[in-house]
Formats: sequence, structure tokens, C-alpha cells
Amino acid sequence: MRRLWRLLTSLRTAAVLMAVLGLFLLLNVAVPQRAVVGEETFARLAERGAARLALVTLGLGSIPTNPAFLATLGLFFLSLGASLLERFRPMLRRSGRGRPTPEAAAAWLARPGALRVPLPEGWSARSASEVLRVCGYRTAGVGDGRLWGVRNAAAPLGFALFHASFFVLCLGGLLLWGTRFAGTATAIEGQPWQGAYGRVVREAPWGARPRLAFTVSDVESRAERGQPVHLGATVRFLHAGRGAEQKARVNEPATWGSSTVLLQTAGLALQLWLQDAEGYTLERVLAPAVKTAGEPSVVPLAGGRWEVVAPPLERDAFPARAELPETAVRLLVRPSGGGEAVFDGALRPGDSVRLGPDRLVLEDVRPWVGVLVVSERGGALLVAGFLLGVAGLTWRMIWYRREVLLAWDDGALTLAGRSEHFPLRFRQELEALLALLAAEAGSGGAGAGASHEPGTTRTDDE
Amino acid sequence: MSELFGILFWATLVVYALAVAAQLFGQVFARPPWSRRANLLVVGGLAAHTVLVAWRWIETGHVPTIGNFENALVGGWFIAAMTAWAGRGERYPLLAAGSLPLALVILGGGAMSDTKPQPMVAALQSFWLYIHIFFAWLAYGAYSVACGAGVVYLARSRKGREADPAALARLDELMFRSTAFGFVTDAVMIAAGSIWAKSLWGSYWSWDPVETWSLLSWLVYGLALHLRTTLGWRGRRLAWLLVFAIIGVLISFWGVNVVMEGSAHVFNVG
Repeated sequence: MRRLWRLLTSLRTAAVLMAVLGLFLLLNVAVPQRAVVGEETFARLAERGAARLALVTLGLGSIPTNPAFLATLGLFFLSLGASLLERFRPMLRRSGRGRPTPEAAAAWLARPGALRVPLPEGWSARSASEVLRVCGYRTAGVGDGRLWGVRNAAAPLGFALFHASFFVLCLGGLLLWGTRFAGTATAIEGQPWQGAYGRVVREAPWGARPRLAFTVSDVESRAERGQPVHLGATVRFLHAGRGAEQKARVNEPATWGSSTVLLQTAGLALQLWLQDAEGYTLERVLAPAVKTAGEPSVVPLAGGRWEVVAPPLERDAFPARAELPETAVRLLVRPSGGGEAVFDGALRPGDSVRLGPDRLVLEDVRPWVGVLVVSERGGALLVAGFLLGVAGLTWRMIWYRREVLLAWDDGALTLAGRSEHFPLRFRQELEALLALLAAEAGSGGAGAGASHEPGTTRTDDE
Repeated sequence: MSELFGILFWATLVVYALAVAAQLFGQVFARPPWSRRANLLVVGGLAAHTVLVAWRWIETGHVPTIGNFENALVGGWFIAAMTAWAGRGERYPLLAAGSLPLALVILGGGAMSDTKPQPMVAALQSFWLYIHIFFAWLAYGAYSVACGAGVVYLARSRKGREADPAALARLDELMFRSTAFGFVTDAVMIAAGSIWAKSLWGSYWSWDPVETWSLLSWLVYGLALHLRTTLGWRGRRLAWLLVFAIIGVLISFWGVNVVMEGSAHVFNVG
């Protein structure tokens, strides 16, 4: 048991586990992944032979759910937890503000690396303490003629904070994985949308689909030189009779509870009426037919007898709201299953086309938006994990713990120090601090005159 | 790019290349004045580079962040600026020779992609873009300095060569400090990118190739810090690790978008 504990808390184990996780991440990029290439492409790649063995049987085609990866991740967290438990008490001790004993201080001053200058005239312990406080040190006396200071005393706890944040991130990730639902939908301006997904991208393993209903209005799409520079709409949620309007755009989705509605694309919807010779309406269709990219859309009419083909609109040509009633839409009308087109041209709202004895009328043109509806929980934990992690890292690596010990007698002023990291940088800080102390005491130029014994200033790194 | 911009761009690259050459010449042939000239060349090149960034900013009307060329332009600036800052006062006489070649590779690669100014697409109109990109450049700049210091350390400490222990100790500490700074800023970059991805793509993490490679790169540097602080890796071992680790940074900066069209980092939303 003891051996197992030592193995779990060993830093070599941590390094090996990190290296193995790195290897899995490398595989995630190097090997085609199902989630990245899509089901169709993945199925083609994994049809037979070695590819099937690697991608499907060994699970290398979906690293995030690969059992070996998950086992390594589990071991990593186990090792991390054990290491945190084992190192917590020593870390607390190292983070304390307890001053050294007089004997420990004497031993510290006797070590090589201390800086020494003649005692400046006008020297005062009080002003020295003040200088150290201004430089960020908390000070305390250690016997006669000695002053101890510590800066960022609790910085070693940054280690615990940073590594503990991994657990928070993991918990957030797990919650997100379990509760995430995603589906794409098309919402036509003025038409309520109530859960009709075009494609369900992912069902949530835990819990039901979100109950959402909304309408969109004021759809705007603009492009410059063929690049989409703006896509926005007003989304009005319809829940329990209350409406809540939100202006949404790319990067600013509309939200309702744990659900998010992200605008992704836009186009024009055609309201088509098929009328007979006497003007009676045979069929009404409202179709989000005109897209801004991809293949032409096909709208079947009259029980499949006719089809209306709408080529994609150029991004730069998306009409402004005021222009919609006059917008000319390019359409091709032909019998289903091929055959010569009976119409190939542009129609404006109100225009019509003869289809044998019947008439096809383009009644209205309205914008539509393609949205991605996402519902998930756990985002707050993830953000909290990020904040804790960055705070812990900054605390530990940037604001690391530093201690100084100042001793003075009739002849000399001695400054010794130790820092958690960066001994050479810290020695420069000590030299600057000594110069400041001497200048404050009024003698001036102590930095240039400082002598020190050979060797490096002691750090916890060594 | 316009003709004048192009001339200034290539002139900047030439100045950086001359700085590298001058540092190498000064060290190899023991001519200290050449090392000083090299530092002046770095500063001069950086001044011209700053003009280029400002020019592009004014021309496009937005921070130069769109496309490989603009990212290379600003990313290269950060590498050069951090190299100049770390090497100030001639503390590290060969640092520019170690890290500026990375800036040259990135800038040269950027120049081979489409340099036409692009409008700020809808997907990039976010406050998080600036946080994400800024910390990315800080991180990559710091990693480049660490790599440069590693290269210099390896060159100075190779067998059969007498090396100044104090100089090696300074380089060793520079490697560690740059890596630590890069690691912290890299973490902020990943966090900011993840929060931004939620607003843009509806998911904090999609295992997109660029995301995964950034995480892998961060893990490698985390491993380097672990090996240094807990297992005492320093000197040549650490230097070799940092020299190889920069490959991950270059791949996540360049290679993934070039090779893998499936990356969502092409920002085609809207």
C-alpha cells in the first residue's frame, strides 16, 4: 500500500502520465477523428483493414472517448489528488509568515551569497523596515540587530490552487458532456419556431431536450468583398406567455436559461402560392429556399409535380430590409425529375409564372436565419476552473515567495535572501534593495560599493 | 500589399537577418563591437516592424489579426520585441541569433500567403479576440526567447568548448523564466479562446485540431517546468527540450490551418 502511494505521488509518475496524455493528444490531431471529419468521411476511411482496426477497434478515431485515454486521464487525476494531499501540509508550512529563529537566522547569514556593505551613516532599523514594507515585504524582528521580511508569503499555495483547478475543470467538463444538447434549425422571420430541428447534432446523455420557442425578426446580413461582416437578428423567446427580446448577432448569441441560440447563416425564404385557373389557392409553401452558400435549394410543389430551384444568393447581394418588397429572386421552375424548365429568371414579390393551367405566385420574400441551439450546464464550473488555474499559476510562478534577512552591527550591513525561483534575478533584486536601503539611510552609493562572497544566493530550486 | 509596404517589409526581414549574422560574427570571431551593432540592428528592425504593424492597422481599420499574413506580422513583432527586451544590456550576446530566425520563418511564411487586406469578418468581431490573440503572441514570443536561449546554451556548452559558467547560468535561468512566463500567458490564451468559442461556436471545447495542438503544446511546456522544478532538469537537457518544444508552437501557429481544412479556426461563420 505504501509502495502504491509512493508510486502515485511520485513526480516521475506525473511526468510519465503527462507524456502519455501528450501522446494521446498527438494522436487526436494526427489520426482522423470522427467528430472532426464527420460521420460520412469517417465511415469511408474506416471501411476495412488496418484503418478499421486502428480507427474503430482500437478507438483511435475518437480519442476523447477512447478507454485507454480515459484510463490515463483517470490515473492522472488520481496521482494529482494523491500528490496534493501529500504535499498540502509541507506547502502550508512553507507558506507561513513564521519568522526564523535567531539560530536559524545566524546560520542563514553565515552561508555564502550574502551581500555586505559598511553600515551607512544615519542607519535606522525603523526606516529599513519601512523600505522593506514599501518593496512589498512584511517585516518582523529576529533578535537584536536583525530584521526579517517575506514577500508573497502564501505563493506556494498557488501550486495547490493551480492543480486543484484541474478537478474543477474536469467536473465542469463532465457536466457539460452529460448535459449538452445541440441541434440546428431554421427560423423564418415572423414564424414561431417551436422545436423543429433540421438536424440534431447531439442528444444530451442526461436529461431531455430544451423546451424552447422563439421568433426572429429584423434579420440583417451584410458582406464585404464576399466575406460575412455582420449577421444579426432580434430573437423573441415565447415562454409562458411572456416574451423576452434579445438582439443577437454572431459572437453574441441569445440565451434563455441554459440554452443558447447562435446565429450561423441567413438567407431568403420564399412564400409561394400555387393557384388554379380561377384563382383558388391549391397550395401555400413558405420555404427557406435561398441560401448564401452551397448547392441550390429545391422546393417541391403540387404533390411533387413541379419543383422550384433557387440558386444560392451571393453574400454581397443580401437585400437590406427596405429593399425586400422589391427584391428580385432568381428561380428556375421545372417539372419534377428533370425536363425542360418552364421558367428561368427573376421574380419579385407579386410576380407570377404560368404552370400549365395553374399559376405560381411569389407572394412574399422574407429573411430566415440558420441557428444552432445549444443547451448545456457546467460552463460556470469551467470558467471558475480557468480563473483558479490562472490565479494559481500567476501566484506560484510570477509572484513567487521571497524572503530577506537584514543584519547590522557597528561595522557592516548584511543582506541575505532566498526565493522560490529565479536565483539570478533575485540576486539583482537584492542588490537593488541593498542600494535602496543604503540610500535611504543617507550614505548613498551602497550598490556600487557592495561586496559579496562568491556563490549564488540560495533558492528553493536548488 | 502595396509596393512601399512590401519594400519596408522585406527590408525589415533583411535587417533582422543581418542582426543574426552580426551576432554570430561577433561571437565566433571574438569581435564585441559586432555584437553591439547586432543589438542596434535588432532595435532598428523592430522600429521598422512597428511602422509596418501600424501601417497595416490603419490600412485595414482593425488590429492586424486576420489571416496568416497579419498573424505572422504581429506574431513576429512580439518575438522580436521580447528578444530585444530580454537581450537588452548585452546580457545575452547571442540571444537574437537564437530566437530571431523563428521570427524570420514566421514572417517569411506569412508573406507567402494572401496578403490582401481582409474586412473584419463577423466571426472575429469580439472583445475576446483581442485577449486571446494578445496572450497567444505573448506566449509564443516567450517560448521563442526560451528556444533561442536554449540554442545559445547548446552552442556554448558543446563538447570541447570552454564555457563561462556565469553566462551559462544566466542562459539557464532565462530559459526557465521565459518558459514560466509563456506557460502562464499560454494558459490565459487557452482559457480566453475557450470562453470565446462558447459564444462563437456554442461549445467551450470541440477537440478542433488547433485547439488540441495548443493544448498539447501547453502540456509539453508544463512537462518542461515539472522536469525543471521537481526533477532538477537544467542546462543542456532543458535546452534540448525547449528547442524541440517550439515545433509544437510553430505547428499550432501555422501547420494545422495549412494541413487540416476541418479546423474551425478558419472563421467562416456567417
